[in-house]
Amino acid sequence: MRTQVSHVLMIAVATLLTAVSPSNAQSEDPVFTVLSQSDSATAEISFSLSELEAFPQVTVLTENEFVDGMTAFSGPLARVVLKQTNDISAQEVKLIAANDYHIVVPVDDFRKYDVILATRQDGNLFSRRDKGPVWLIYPMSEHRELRDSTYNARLIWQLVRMEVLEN
Amino acid sequence: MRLLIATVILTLFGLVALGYNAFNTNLTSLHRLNQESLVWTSDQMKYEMASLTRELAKLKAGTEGASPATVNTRFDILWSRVAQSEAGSLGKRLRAYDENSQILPTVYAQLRASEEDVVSLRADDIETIGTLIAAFDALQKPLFDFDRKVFLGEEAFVADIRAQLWTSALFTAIVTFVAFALTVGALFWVNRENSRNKQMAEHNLELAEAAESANQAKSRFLTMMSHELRTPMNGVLGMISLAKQPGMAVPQLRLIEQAEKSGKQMISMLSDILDYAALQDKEMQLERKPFAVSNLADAVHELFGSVARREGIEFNVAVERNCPERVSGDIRRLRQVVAHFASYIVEMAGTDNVEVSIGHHDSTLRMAINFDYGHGQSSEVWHPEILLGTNSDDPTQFASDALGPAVARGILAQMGGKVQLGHSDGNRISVILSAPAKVVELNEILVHIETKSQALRTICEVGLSGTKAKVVDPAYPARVDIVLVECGGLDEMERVQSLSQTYPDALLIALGTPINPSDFEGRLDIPIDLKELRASVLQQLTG
Repeated sequence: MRTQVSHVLMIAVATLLTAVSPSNAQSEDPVFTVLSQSDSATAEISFSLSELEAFPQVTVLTENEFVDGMTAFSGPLARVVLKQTNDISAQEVKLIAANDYHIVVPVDDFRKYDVILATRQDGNLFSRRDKGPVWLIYPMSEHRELRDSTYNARLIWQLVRMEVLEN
Repeated sequence: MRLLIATVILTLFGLVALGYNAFNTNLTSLHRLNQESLVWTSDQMKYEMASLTRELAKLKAGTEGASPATVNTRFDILWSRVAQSEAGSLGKRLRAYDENSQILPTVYAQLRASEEDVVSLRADDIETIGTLIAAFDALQKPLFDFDRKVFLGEEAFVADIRAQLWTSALFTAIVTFVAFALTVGALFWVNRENSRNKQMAEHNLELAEAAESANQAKSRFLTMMSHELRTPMNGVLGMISLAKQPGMAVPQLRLIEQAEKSGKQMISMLSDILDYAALQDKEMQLERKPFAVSNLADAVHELFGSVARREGIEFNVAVERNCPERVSGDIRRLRQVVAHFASYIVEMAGTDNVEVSIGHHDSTLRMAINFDYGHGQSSEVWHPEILLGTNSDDPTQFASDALGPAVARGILAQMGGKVQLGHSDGNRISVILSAPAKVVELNEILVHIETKSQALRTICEVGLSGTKAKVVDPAYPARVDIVLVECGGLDEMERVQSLSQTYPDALLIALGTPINPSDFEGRLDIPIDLKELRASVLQQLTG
């Protein structure tokens, strides 16, 4: 499912801050891993940037406290990527960033809202020195109830891993 | 007072709305404040700087797990933390805190300066590693201070917002309470006023009922006393009448005649009192029957002609040329009204001529009594202020001290008429009495004969044949103008009452001697004189 973009507002971002280091160039190296553990099996799937971009891309036009004005984020839907684990009973997931920062997010968020694993901002790939490789984006501008500190804390960037928690 | 209270209450509720709005705004600010991860972000910068420095130290020490790649990872993460200060509302607030210290641009400049070294770092390049450690280590204290500044600043800001929230909440609560208290007070006051007004209304109703009862009692007393007095007065008049003997000495005769006159005046006054009481109780019955205007003029002339001659007053009654022949009304009461005013004028005005002019205009009968005042012996009686009261243009003050004119005013008022005064130059006054009276046009007079005697019926029919009068069948015709009633018999009064109800607009003429002559507009003796019959019937309506 793709969120229709009504109008993309281009925000001038300091190019130095989004400079692409050699390590952020689009490559086949895995950048994001999904792990699902249950009594019967363990599934660990890693995705490269191109594999993430091979999913149907959804663009979310939203603003939040970390960007200037309405910004277009694009990436696959979180629920679509999670489905790859075939874990239909998942209630919560643990999202881990590159610096080991982590939060627990209810899977209901993914079902109820078009939460995406954003890899691009205004068409530009995230660099590691910005929010890359993946930034979990909620469509805050489309849903008033998402404009809350609870969901602000879930906008985890430099996301590298998602672990499905046992029920 | 109610308007003032309403204004105050509305103003207070306006203030409540403002207070609530301020409270809401502060709450939103507080809520928004919590959203911004300012403290967390500044803390993250400090933490990542420490992590980078630690990773460089581990690399220099050759610690297992440390590598140029891990250093680059920590470098990128630190860079991303510093980059947050460049965008969004969060970045704006961070820059505000950094306005004086400018630590963030310093850190950023160091990152740019070290980028090449970090990217191309080798594990064995101890010197470069040491340089990097020193460079980043030097920034830890400033970042620590910045983080503390942000923490304390946010604490103070939140405290300030909370204080404002408390103040606006307290203000809103106080104003709400005051508004509520005033509203309750106003409701209580209004309720009390309503109760008081209701009590006053009930009290006024009681007073009015008491006054009405007193008035009715007074009227009943007047009626009772008048009846009681009339009986012995009639007795006295009877005795006086018997006392008048032919051949009596002139002085004695004069005394008796004076006594008789006084007695008749007394009887007349008692009748006026009865009429006055009936008017007060609204029990006076007025008729509305066709009559000839000339009959009214004749009746007035007959009433005053002889009296005026005796007093040396020139008295004339005239009907205006454009006055219709017949109108509808109560001729008996109209005659009474004119009589009362004319009598008063003759007695009190000191006039030597009275002229009554009867006219009709716009469904109103107009009887004007015109006279000059001020002639005669006593100037005190004939002073205009006694006649006209203190306001010569106010008709209610004319003859306001006399019973007869008061009764006449009451009768006119009940008819829907009024008294007006005309005052021309000199001593000429016109008292204008007007009463509603519709014009009655008749091409034929329908007559009903109420008798059990076929002979009497036949005589009446023969007498009226060839005239405008037409005898109608008594089987409830649509209109009857005259009813000829044979008097006599025990059921006479009952029959008369029934006929009056059946033919309310008809004139009743008695054939014979009625028990109560006042029930009839005319009377014919039996045996019937046909000429008189015709004259009586035709004259009643045609004049």
